[in-house]
Amino acid sequence: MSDELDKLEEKRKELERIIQELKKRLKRVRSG
Amino acid sequence: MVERFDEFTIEEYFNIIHQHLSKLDVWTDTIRKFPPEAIRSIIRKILERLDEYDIDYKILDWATIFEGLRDFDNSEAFLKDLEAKGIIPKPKIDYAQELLAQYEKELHDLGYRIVSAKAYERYLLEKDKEIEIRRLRNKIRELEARIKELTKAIEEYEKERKITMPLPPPKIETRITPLKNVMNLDQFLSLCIQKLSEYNLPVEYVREIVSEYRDVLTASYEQLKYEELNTFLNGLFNWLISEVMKKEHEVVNGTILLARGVNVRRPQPVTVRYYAGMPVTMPPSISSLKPKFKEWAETLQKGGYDVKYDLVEIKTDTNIVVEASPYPPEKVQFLIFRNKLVGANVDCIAYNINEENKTLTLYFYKTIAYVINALTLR
Repeated sequence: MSDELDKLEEKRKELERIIQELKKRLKRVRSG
Repeated sequence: MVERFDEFTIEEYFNIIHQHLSKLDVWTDTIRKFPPEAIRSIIRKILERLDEYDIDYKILDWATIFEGLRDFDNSEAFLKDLEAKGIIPKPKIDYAQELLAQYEKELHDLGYRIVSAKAYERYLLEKDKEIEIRRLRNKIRELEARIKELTKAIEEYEKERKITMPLPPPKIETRITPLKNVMNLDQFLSLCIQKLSEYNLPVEYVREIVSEYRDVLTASYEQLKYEELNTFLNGLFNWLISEVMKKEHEVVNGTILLARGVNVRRPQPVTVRYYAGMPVTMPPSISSLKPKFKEWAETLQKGGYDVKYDLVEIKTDTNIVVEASPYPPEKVQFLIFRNKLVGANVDCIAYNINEENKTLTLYFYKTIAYVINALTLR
């Protein structure tokens, strides 16, 4: 089970990174 | 973003607002704080916002939402308030930001669930572990799909400053548009005439009745919402019948007063032979009721009335069944026809039975006659 959970956690972190990136892009659009 | 409006649209809504605020006597106060150009600028911003989501401008109650404008310090605060009340949607960029925050929170909660599952792993049954893993996997897949769609939308926005949509539709609370914002009174009355004409009523009569009830229809027009128009039109015929019934009863009562010597102008009835050619049948049950009529008649005769009475029941081959009975004693010269389609009593001024050709002629006031004809022909 741990392996599965680790994979899910990895995926979750990847999505978090995408969210952070999108936030920055939106901020740029707004100020630009 | 393609703008669907032009300067004329802005002017149209400006005039609606101007008229409404003037009527409320707050126009001067409003323009002291927000000069006409500022109001036009707010209208433009609202129109742009609606365009972002392809929302019909007419769903907004333009006049009413500007009533409180004078209480705000600036147009931004006013627009924010409209957003908070759900009257206009937020700009898509704000909306996208809100979605990002929401997804971020969901991911954070998922992280907590993963950590917990790890911590309690050894206490869980194999079956429960599988269930929890399946749930977490599904949730992550679902979030991933939503984030992908939002990413595409943001890319689109970066290219054209337009978010095409994976965004769920915004909530608009006030889908109430006064009808007068959409059409003028004449257009509304034409629609009423058009609708009533569908019921086989003679056109000249429809025009006459719409003109007769113009005040009532105008009051409805003032209060109606655009979204209620179809329901109103569909119920118009039944409403008309009930109104006509009320009026006709008043007329008949007026005639009664005349018979008693009170000076009331007697309306001229129109004779309708709508049962011409139809045989009159006398069901057996009628004879058992006759003594009751005789009793009434005698009472009235004693009171000095010249009473003629009879009882007729007619069953037609149409879906109208009329039953005739004398009015209560004080109204004995009249008949009540209970019309099952109309669902109300109909005053018949008189009737005539022609024994030779077995026909019955009923005499109604004009409006009732038209309504009965309309129902018969339908």
